[in-house]
Amino acid sequence: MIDVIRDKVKELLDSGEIKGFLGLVRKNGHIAPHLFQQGDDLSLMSLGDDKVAGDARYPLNKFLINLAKAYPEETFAVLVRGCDDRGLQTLYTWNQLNPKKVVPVGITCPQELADACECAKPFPAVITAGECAQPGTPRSVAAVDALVMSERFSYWMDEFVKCIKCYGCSNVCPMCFCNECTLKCNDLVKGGELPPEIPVFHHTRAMHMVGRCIDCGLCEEACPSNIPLRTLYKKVGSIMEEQFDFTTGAVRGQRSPLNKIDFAEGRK
Amino acid sequence: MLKFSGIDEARLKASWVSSAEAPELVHEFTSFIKELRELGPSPLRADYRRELV
Ligand code: SF4
Ligand code: SF4
Ligand code: SF4
Repeated sequence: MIDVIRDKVKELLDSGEIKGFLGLVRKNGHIAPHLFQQGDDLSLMSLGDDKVAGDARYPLNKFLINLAKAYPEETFAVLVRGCDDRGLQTLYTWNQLNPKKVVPVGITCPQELADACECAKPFPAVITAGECAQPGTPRSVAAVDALVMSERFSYWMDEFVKCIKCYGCSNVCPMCFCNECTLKCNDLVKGGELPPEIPVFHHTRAMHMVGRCIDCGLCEEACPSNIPLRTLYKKVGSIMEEQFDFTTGAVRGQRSPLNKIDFAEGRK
Repeated sequence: MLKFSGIDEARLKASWVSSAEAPELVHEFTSFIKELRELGPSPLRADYRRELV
């Protein structure tokens, strides 16, 4: 798979279509994000599969937002999996990236990763390399739904109480792009306490992920306290699906029902 | 979300009341306070931090 990606990137760089390719590099025994430019050694490229598939993923779209801000005239290519592609579509609708300046280079995820992620679509819309796996079966939300109210309460409180308020979850999240963060506003989430006010801290973040979370799972991977954050946000996503028939990032150009004020009441 | 976290939904209420409708607002408050009294103290008042060893 990686050879196909390498060839594609080489072709894009040589043609001058892109200024650089935001992907991953294997260096000094680690896999890290890297911007490949013309003349760079593409043999060091990685797809983020270290010991198992997809165990070295990064929020590349988040770095792409910064790149695009610094070089607004340039076009960049970016490595995308299914979730990153959902992220790109969503970032376009929130005006954080310009689709004309982004060239996605798509890879698929293997079945084991799709199952582990309980992923609804483990491949991007445009696939450069790889075979499509089946969607993973959702389990985690149903497992919590199966508990009675008092059990649910203690389950979540026992998890939330482990929080060390490191902000890893929002720092890694490719869909967290606000300049001012509610979680850092003293009047809304009281500062100076560990654990932070629970469940206010985690519920606030969950509410802000409505129509934004693209279920990449990076937050849960980043959380040093192993709080099952992804399950919480998967629930948020499932409510949006049931109530509004909206899956974040699934349809190109489709805005979140909460991001439609400018279309209301005839103002087009 | 509250229900998913095991918190009674009845503890949260949103009402649309205009600034010109003071009696409505008072009614909303008093009836909600009454409902909350019937539900009893919030489970969130407990301190969930464990004793440090
Ligand atoms: S969420 Fe889906 S697309 Fe993203 S890494 Fe997991 S299986 Fe792949
Ligand atoms: S899964 Fe976590 S990191 Fe990914 S978009 Fe949702 S909240 Fe952000
Ligand atoms: S990453 Fe985990 S420990 Fe850190 S702030 Fe988020 S929930 Fe809390």
